[in-house]
Amino acid sequence: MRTLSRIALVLACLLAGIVALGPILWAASTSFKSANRIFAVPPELLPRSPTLAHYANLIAEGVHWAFLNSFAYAAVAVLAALLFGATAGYALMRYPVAGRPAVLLVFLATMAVPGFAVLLPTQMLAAGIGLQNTWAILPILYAGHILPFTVWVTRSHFATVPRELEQAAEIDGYSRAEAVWRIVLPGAKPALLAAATFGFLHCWNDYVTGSTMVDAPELRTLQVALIFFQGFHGRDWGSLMAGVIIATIPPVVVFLLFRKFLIGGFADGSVKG
Amino acid sequence: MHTIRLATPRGLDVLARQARLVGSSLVAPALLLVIAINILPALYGFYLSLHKVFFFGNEGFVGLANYAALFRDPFAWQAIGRSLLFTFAALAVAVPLALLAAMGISRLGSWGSVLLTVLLVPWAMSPIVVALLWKWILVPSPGGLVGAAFTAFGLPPQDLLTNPLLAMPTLIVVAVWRNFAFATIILIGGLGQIPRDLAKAAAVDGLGAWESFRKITLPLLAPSLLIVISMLTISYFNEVQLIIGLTGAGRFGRPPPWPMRSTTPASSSWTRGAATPSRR
Amino acid sequence: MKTMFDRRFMLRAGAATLALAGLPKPARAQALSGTVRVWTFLGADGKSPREVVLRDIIQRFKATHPGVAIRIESQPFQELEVKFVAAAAQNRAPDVIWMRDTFLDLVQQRGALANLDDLLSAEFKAKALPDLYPVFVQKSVFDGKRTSLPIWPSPAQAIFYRKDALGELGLDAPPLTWDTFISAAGKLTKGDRLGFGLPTNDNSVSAFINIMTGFGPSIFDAATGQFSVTGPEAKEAANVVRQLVANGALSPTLLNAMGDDIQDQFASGRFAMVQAFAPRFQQYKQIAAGYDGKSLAVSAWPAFGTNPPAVLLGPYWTVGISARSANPSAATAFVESLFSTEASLEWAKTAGLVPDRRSVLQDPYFATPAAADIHAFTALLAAPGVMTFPQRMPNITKIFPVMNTALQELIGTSESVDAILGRAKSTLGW
Repeated sequence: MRTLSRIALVLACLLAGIVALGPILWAASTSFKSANRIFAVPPELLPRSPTLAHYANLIAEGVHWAFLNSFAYAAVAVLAALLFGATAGYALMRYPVAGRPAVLLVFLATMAVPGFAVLLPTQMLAAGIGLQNTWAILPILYAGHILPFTVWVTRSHFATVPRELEQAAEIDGYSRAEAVWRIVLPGAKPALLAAATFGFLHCWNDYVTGSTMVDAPELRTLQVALIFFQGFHGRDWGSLMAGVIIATIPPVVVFLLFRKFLIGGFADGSVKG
Repeated sequence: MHTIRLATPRGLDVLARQARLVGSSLVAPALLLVIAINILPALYGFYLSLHKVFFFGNEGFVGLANYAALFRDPFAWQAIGRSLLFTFAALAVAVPLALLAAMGISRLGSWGSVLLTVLLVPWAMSPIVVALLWKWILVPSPGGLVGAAFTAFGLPPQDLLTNPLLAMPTLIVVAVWRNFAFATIILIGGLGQIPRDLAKAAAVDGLGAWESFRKITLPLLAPSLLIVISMLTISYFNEVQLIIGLTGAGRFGRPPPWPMRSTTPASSSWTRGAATPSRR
Repeated sequence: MKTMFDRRFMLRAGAATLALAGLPKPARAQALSGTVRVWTFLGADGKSPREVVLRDIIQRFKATHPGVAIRIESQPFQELEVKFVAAAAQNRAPDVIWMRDTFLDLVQQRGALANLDDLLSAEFKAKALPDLYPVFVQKSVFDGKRTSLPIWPSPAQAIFYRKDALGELGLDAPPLTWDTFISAAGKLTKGDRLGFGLPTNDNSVSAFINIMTGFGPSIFDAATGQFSVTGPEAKEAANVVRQLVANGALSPTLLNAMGDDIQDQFASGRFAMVQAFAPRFQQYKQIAAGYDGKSLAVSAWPAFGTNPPAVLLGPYWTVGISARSANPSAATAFVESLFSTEASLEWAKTAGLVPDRRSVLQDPYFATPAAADIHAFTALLAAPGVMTFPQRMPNITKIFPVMNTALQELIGTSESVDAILGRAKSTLGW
């Protein structure tokens, strides 16, 4: 009886794994097939004569630059959000702040604002001040999108670092800033990493903001660059699937590296605030 | 020196004001950025919604005419209805699935965390990339994965994404595939907070597995379930990128099979008035 | 004193400009400078034949105009027109824009396009302009204002077919009258293969209108640009669709296919004949997996009665210059270079396109077998059944989806033809 339910459990897990990863593996398989085998009937599960042509095509069309753009936008936005978010989160915990309840409400309410809902007015405002189609617009917007979450997560984590520890450091002759740097920040590392991971995923995975705010090819994000492979000549499934694989690697790697903090951040206190 | 100043009420006052100044200025950059990027455009969007906007050009004040047109537009109502249907149907699939996964995984020990990681991989993917990926899987051709499955059963390949009956279930499956594991994390956290003794006591009292689940696990899990439901509701109601990618909604001039008209950049809001209100 | 100097300076500058304009072309070319931004669906680094040719043209242009930089800013091809109008409204439009002829009226109404008659050189007007296909050239002229120049003359929607499949019926090509076409298409449905495939869900393609063109250009009212949605020609077209469904040539299981879907399915060998986007001929060949790509061929549309085979030209590409271009003279020089005899020959040789300059067809290249495909297309252009969409077709963003809905209802329901067409008419408000 026990072994039977054990077997059922293992089978269920295997099935779940296949459902989760199968589609991605199918995309990987397609990305290595030559153009005239992609639509073979019946479909070939594994490419019979594997080719790197589609990946070469991505490079030839300059998709690697879009990849780097996406990376740079996300990095700048995450760093900015951590800097401003952690300072704000700390101040909200430890300092009196003018209009504190209203400030907290702003951060809480904007967490629920989906970026796309205000896309059109944002585009018009950005164009009005000449920021549309510049390298700065996407990091700025992304930072604004992920800031509320960063403030919220860091704030609730700072709450768990006892004030006495800081005061002890100050009594030992450290300045307040030094105390924060040496005591508070290391203690808040899980929260900072959770916020950074979440922020990176948000920036990297965006499509609508990138496609609206930027027209110049050299400023494009990876997600937008991929859409060009379903264009004038139809859908280039080989290149599209190669793009899917390339676009999936960074977020999955980041997620795997920091999943402990991310899962921790969501599973305990942070979300509940 | 320090202590002496602290002693006078006036000194306290100055110190408090100083602290307030420091606190406020530490919060200011984040606050200003958030207001500029999330609140200002929303206000501007409301202002625009009172004007006729054609191809990004403001052509004058029209009052509530855009809203009136929106309320009269049967398509808008249909769209809102379909959005709600999609949201609740996806919830109805995702939450039980996440609960099942959470209970299974929390029983599996270290293998459970491996499985959880595997299940979370789709969640880390970009919605538009997920859309491309599933579009390829669903491609209505005998050379596609789903098409081949139909052919194997002697049926012609169906286009599930444009079939009036099957499009919605298909979108729901993809949306749930992408992010139900995210709900699982929170539920695992919730399950971890239920004291083990309670379950043991229940077993001693002769409660069956189902009763124990219904009478102990479920009520104690309620806070986590509430979080999961509210987060997924927001997430599914806003699942724009995935739906644009899968159905091509919002391409110029094409009535999208999905309610994205006034929110996607390439949709008719470029040519029409109502800027933002329809979905807020 | 100062104003005197200014005026004298201005006079001198003016004289210099006049002198410059009078100089022969190479000298003038060297005076041009600045950047020309180009919005097109072609990529700057792409490998498709058209992209290769565009790169060559830019390189040659740079050699003769060292002061001018050409920036290709590719955009998704379905969004070019919309993005351009939006950019023009926000003062960030590119200098040169690719757009489809069907959108010309909409875009020129927004005042976004420069009048090319003010910009094109006398030499171009005298030599190149009369050498282009007049049907296309004339369509870009709105009330005496030349808004764009047509590029790559070609029918947009053609019929692609598999010679191997038609060979089973002893046919070399699809019959060119609907009566005979319908029965052949029905017989071509066999096993998993369908006789005929139509896209019914694209935003700028209407198979229904393509069928109607079998009655010739008279279906469009010259004054209004409309066609009669419930007239006898439309009913006859609807009957064609119904007969194709009845004999199994069209499948009701394929109600909402886009052109891309038809293309993907054709690659798996699912159809014998399909309506296809003509410029994708080579792409169709490359992804052929369910049949031998070598047996792919192209045909005109069948016609009704004694009408000649129908050729609907469009939507096709045209090239315009932004009304607010900061650098109109350089932009114009670049646009002119797209239409040089050298460029026309290269579009033909490398990309297999019909040359824009008709005189180029005298080149010995066109007597070689390599040019056979091009001759198939020039024959279509010279055919008696050739026509374009009306210059000012009203509701251009609505007409295709509405007629596609009607087509889907014709294929998927048994509602009467009159009811379906009547509904389409009232939705359009025509």
